Amino acid sequence: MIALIDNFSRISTMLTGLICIYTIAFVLYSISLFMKENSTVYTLGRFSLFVGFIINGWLIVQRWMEASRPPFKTFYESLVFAAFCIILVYLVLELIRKVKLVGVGSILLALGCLLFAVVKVDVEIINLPPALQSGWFIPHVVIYFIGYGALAVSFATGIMYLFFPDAITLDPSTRKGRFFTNALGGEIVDLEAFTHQLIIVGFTFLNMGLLTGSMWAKFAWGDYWFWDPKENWSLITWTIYLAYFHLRYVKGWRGRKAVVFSIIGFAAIVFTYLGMSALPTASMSEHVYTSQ
Amino acid sequence: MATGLITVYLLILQAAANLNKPVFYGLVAALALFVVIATARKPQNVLDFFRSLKMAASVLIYFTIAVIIGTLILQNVEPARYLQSYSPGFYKFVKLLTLVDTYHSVWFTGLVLLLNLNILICTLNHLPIKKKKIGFFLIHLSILIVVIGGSISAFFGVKGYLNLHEGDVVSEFQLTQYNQLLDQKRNMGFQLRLDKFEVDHYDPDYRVYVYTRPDSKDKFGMPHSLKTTENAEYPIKKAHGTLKILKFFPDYAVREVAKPADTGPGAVKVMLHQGEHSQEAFFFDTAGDDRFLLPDQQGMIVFKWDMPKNPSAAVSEQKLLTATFPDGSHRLIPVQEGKSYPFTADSTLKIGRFIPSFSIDQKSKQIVSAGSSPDNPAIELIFSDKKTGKTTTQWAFANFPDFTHGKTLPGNATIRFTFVPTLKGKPIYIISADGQYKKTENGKNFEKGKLENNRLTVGNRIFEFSDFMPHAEKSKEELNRSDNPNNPVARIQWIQNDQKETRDLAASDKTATFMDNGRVALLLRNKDDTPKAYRSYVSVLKDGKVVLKKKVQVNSPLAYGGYYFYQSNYNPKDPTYSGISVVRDPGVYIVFLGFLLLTIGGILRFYFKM
Repeated sequence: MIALIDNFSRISTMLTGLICIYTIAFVLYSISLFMKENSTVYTLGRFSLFVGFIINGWLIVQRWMEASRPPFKTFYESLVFAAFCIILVYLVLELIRKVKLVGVGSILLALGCLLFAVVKVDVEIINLPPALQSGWFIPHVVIYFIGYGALAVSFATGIMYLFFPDAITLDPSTRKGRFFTNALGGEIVDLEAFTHQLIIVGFTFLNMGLLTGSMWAKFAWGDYWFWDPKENWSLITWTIYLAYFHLRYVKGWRGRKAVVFSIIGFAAIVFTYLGMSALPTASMSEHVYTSQ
Repeated sequence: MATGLITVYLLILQAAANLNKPVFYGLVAALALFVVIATARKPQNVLDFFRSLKMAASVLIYFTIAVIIGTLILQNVEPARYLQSYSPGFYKFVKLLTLVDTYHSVWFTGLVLLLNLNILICTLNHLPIKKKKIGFFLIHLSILIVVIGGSISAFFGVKGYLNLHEGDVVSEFQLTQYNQLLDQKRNMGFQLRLDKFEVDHYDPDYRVYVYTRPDSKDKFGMPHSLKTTENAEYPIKKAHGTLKILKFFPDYAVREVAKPADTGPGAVKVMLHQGEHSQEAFFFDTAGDDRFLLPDQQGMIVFKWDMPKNPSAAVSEQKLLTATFPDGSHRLIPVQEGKSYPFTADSTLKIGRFIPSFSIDQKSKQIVSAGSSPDNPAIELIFSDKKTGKTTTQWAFANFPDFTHGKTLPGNATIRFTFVPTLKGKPIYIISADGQYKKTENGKNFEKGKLENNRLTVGNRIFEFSDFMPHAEKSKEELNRSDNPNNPVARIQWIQNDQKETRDLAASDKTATFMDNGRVALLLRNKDDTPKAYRSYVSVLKDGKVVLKKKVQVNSPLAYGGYYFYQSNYNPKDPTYSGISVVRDPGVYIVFLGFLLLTIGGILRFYFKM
C-alpha cells in the first residue's frame, strides 16, 4: 500500500491520467446502472472508457518506441498490457450487447492491473535478453494476454452470477427486473451461459498460447517442454479449465458448480501470471518476471 | 477411489524402484497380473472404469497435484542445496519418491500413461466417427498423437552438448540427460568447426542511482535511475532534494600539467611519439622533474632552461631531501651516503645506505636491491639527538613520499626524498629553451647543435618540444581520455535546503556515496552488463571440405545431418567459448501434427455446430 502511494510520484503523467479516466468511466458506468437504458451518463461513460482505451494503447506504443522492443518484459509493462486486453475484450463484447454491468466489473479489473503496475513500476527500461529476441515473443504474449483478458471478464461475469444466480428468472416489469434489463443491455441474459461463452474464447487463446510457447521453445532451445515452473502452472491452469469443460459437457455441470470451478481456474491464471516469484523453484525459470 | 488406490500403488512402485530393484519388478509383475486377471474375469467393469469420466477427472486431479508438487520442491539441484532448504529427513523422503525429479519419475509417467489409456479407451468408445463428433475425435486423438510423438522423442531422440572454443573442430558430441552431461559420446558422421564466437553488448548506459530512506536506520527502497546528461536536474521528492549532473566523464583521468605562472621554474611541454602511439608530458627545470629515463635505460633526456656550459654538473646524480617543519618552513638538503648534516638545533642527520631499487628478500627478510635501475629509490636516514645520543632510523622512498612508518622525527619534521638519476655508458641529451641540444656520454661532449623543428629523435622515439614557459607551476588537470567507458566518473551536486554539495561518483567505487546523514545513497553504475546477443559462426565439414556455413544464434539453430544445433550458452570470462546443445528429434513432426489437429479440433468443437 505504501509502495502504491510512494510510486505515484514516479509514474508518468499519462499513466496517472489513465487511472483517472478509467476511474471516471467506472463511476459513470456504475451510475448508469440506475438510470434509463440509453442515458447520457452511459454515453459519457462509454466515451471516457474509449478515450481511456486509446490512452492505454498509446502508453504501450510509447513504451515500445522508448525501449525499442515489445513492452512485455517486466511486471509493469505486462500489467499495462493486461489492462488493455481486458478493456479490449469488453469493448468487443459491448458491440454485441450493451452489458453495462459487465463493464463495471471489467473496468474494476483493469484498474486493479494498473494500480498493481504502479506498485511494480520499473526503475528503468531494461533490455531484452537474447532468448526473448524472437519473432515468437509478440504472438505468444499477445495470444496469452487476450486469453487472460477474456478469462478476466468471465471472472467478472461469474462473480455477478454468483451474487444473482436467479437473475434470469426475474420478471422484467419488477424493479429488480428492470434493473437487470438495463444492466445487461435490454434483455436479461443468462450470466452463467455468458460466462461460459467467454471461457470458450479464453480457453481457445490459452490453447494457442500453450502451443506457440512449445513451438518457440523447440526452435530456440531444442525441446518443447522443459517442466519449468511457469510452463507447469500454465499447464495446471489449462487442465483446470479442461476439467471445467468435461464436467460441463459430459457430467452436465451447470450453474453454481460450474462457475465456482471456473473461478478456481481464474485463480490459477492469476497465480501463473503474478505468483511465480513466490515459488521456491522460481529461480530456475526464464519465465519469471524481473520485478525490480 | 480406485484411481487414488492406483496412485498410491504407483508411489509404492517408485519407492521400490529406488530401494530394491527386484521388489520393484515383482510389484510391476503383480500389477500386470492383477490387470490381466481382472480383465479376464470382469471385462465390463474394467472397461467401464477406463472409459468413465470420473476416472479421467480423478487422474487429472492427481496429475495436477503432481505437477504442483514439482513446482514446490526443488528439481534436480545439488544435494547441498537440498540440505540448505530441507531437513535431512524430508530430503530422504523426497528422494525416495523421486520428487527431486518429479516429471521423469516412474509414478508420474504412470499417471500420464493412465490418463492416455483413459483417453484412448474413451475415444474408441465413441466410435464410429460421425460428422457431428469430428471435433471431439480430433481433439482427443491429437492429444494421443502428441503423447506418441513425445514418447518417440524421449526414446529415440538424442540430446547432447558441445563445449567449443574458437578453432575447435569436432566430430562427436557428449550426450546429456535432463541437462546433465553423460560420459557417452556420439559420432555425428561429419565435423563441426567453430570459426568465430562473438558477443554483442548493449551500448554502455551509465546511470546515477539514487536510493532514499526516511532515516539511516531504515532500509532503502527502490532507487531512481537517472541519466548522466550534463546539467540535468532531477528533483527527488521523497528525499526533499534535487540531484544535478554537473559533468560526466566516460574515461576520467587526472594528470599533472605545467601552467604558465608569474614565478616558478621554467617548463616545457613534450610529446613523445613512438610508432602510432603519442603521449604528452611536461618537464620542469627543478630537481627530479627535469629528466626522463628511457625504458631499459637506453638514454636520458634532461631539460634545462639555459644550456649549461658544463654538462656534467647538470646531469650528475643527486639525492635531495626536503624537510618541512610544522611552522611551514622548509629546507632543501643535498646529501651523500655516509655523510652527516646538522638537522635541527638538537639533532644531526646521518645518511646510511642508498638502495636504487628497494626490496625485501622473502627468505632472509633482509633489505636488498632488486637491480641497479632506480625503480624504487630509497635512502636510510639516521637521526641522532645531540644531547641523549638516541638515534631514530627511517627509510624515505622517492616514489612513496607519504610512507613514514609513523615515526616522529626531530622537530616534528616531514622529510621528502627526491632522487635525481644519472646514466653511465649511455647518451644523455640536454635540451634548453632556445631549442639547443647537447649530447653527452660519461661527461664527454659528443655533439651539440640546434634541434630541427624542436624535435629530438632517439632510436625509434621522437620527442617534440613545444610551449616553453619561463615560469610555470604544476597543476592538476582532469580530462576525459576517450569516449570508451574505461573509468566513468559523474560529478554531481546534491541540492537540499538551499545547500549544495558536490561529489564525484566513480563507477569503480565499491560502496555508495552517502548524503544527508545517510538518508540518501548514490551509486554510478552501468544500466545493463548482460549481453545483447551472442552467436557462433560455424562450418560443417564433410571429408575435410566445407559444405555449409551458418551463423548460429539463440532462436536460430543450425540444421544438418538430422541434428539441430542450438546456441545455448556463453562464458562471460572466456570470449572464445561457445556452448551448443545438440538435438535429434524424430518425434517432432508428429508432435506438431498433434498441435495442428488439436487447434482444428478445438475450433470445430467449440465454434461449429455440426
